[in-house]
Amino acid sequence: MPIIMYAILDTRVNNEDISHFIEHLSFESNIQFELISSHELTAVVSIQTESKSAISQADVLTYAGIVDIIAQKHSILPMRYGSVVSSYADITNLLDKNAESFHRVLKKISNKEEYSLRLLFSHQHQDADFNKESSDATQSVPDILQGKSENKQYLLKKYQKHIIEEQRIQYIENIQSKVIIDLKKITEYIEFNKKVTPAFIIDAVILIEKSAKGELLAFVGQLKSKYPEHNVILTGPWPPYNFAQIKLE
Amino acid sequence: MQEDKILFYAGSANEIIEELEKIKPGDQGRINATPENVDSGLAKLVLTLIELIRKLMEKQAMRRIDGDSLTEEQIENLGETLMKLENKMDELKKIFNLTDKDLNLNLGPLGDLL
Amino acid sequence: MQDDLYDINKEITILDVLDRVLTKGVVITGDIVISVADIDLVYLGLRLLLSSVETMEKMKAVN
Repeated sequence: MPIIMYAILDTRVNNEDISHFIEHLSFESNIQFELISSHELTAVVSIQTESKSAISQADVLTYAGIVDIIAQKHSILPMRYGSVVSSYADITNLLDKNAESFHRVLKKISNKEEYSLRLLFSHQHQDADFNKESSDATQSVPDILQGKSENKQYLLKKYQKHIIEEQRIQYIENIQSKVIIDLKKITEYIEFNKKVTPAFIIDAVILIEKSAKGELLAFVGQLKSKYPEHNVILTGPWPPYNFAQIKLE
Repeated sequence: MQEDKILFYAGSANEIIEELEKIKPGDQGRINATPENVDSGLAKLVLTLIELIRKLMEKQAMRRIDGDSLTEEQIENLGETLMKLENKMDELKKIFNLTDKDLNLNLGPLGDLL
Repeated sequence: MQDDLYDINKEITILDVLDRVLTKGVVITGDIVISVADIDLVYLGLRLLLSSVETMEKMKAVN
């Protein structure tokens, strides 16, 4: 009897409210949710009624939607999709063994929400800008690469690419460091995604106080006016998926 | 709930979507070695490592050029070697039907190899 | 125009949702928890799903 876990929350924070809320959610969504509590932690779960060999995108989105609805009302640790356990005892065990870590992270994310902030090169800008710089780079040929031999020409081509790449990295790092300084005024919880395509100048997730949303929006507006040539996108509020990473026992 | 998550966006939506598609979690970079495709799986692994070393060499060479510490003769040798290496690499990629995109490994939390 | 905007919002949001719910969040691993026999199936299914998200979106658009 597989049990699907959706979220973990702090029982001490409005304990009665959550059972009402879950009842209501069960009614609305036609999924029978249950609450499993231990060590002042509560897990929101449901029993997987049908066994599936394949998963559809709709299943994943339904799951994410439920986590989102719970997160709108309560401070929760969202579970990753596929968090399935085989018995109630496993859940209790999980909560007991990791109570301290769960409480620590729950405290951190309490009354906060996650947002994604991305700043991307617009293709046109990218091409225009770095082609311009590439012609600059062409002009400054290192002495050692002066000459007509095929080998030197090859190296020169590589060298020019290298210079453009360096300029590009510098350009990105420069913007990043400025943005970090400003973001730090809003929150200390900022994570940069480094595994991105070259088009990304910034791909960050941040965790902010619910009350700081206005401040964030104002900041993003300013960002766009500072860099009108780039694409800017802010999504959220999300459950704190990126700030709920815990090493579980 | 799911449609109202965009709080601010300015720029080309198509460009944004295109880039987001690229970083979507997927199974690119995974080496699926099965008895049927073990040859190309192995070739992919070996070529990925060669490509990594080749790129490192190239980077190092550019640093040396920047540092201006190479002699005329060394420059000629360097250019020839790197050029031949790149051509050889292109040949091998063609033989094993691999693209640049295939020659990468997803190292999980460490990001991509190349 | 309104419809376009709606589709774009939806598409970006879905990409962001999937990224979060499939790769972030609390992960349970270890001996006690992943004891459901078909957990491999779940992950296999996920991978197939991910590579087919784009296709599914296109199919929806056609229908």
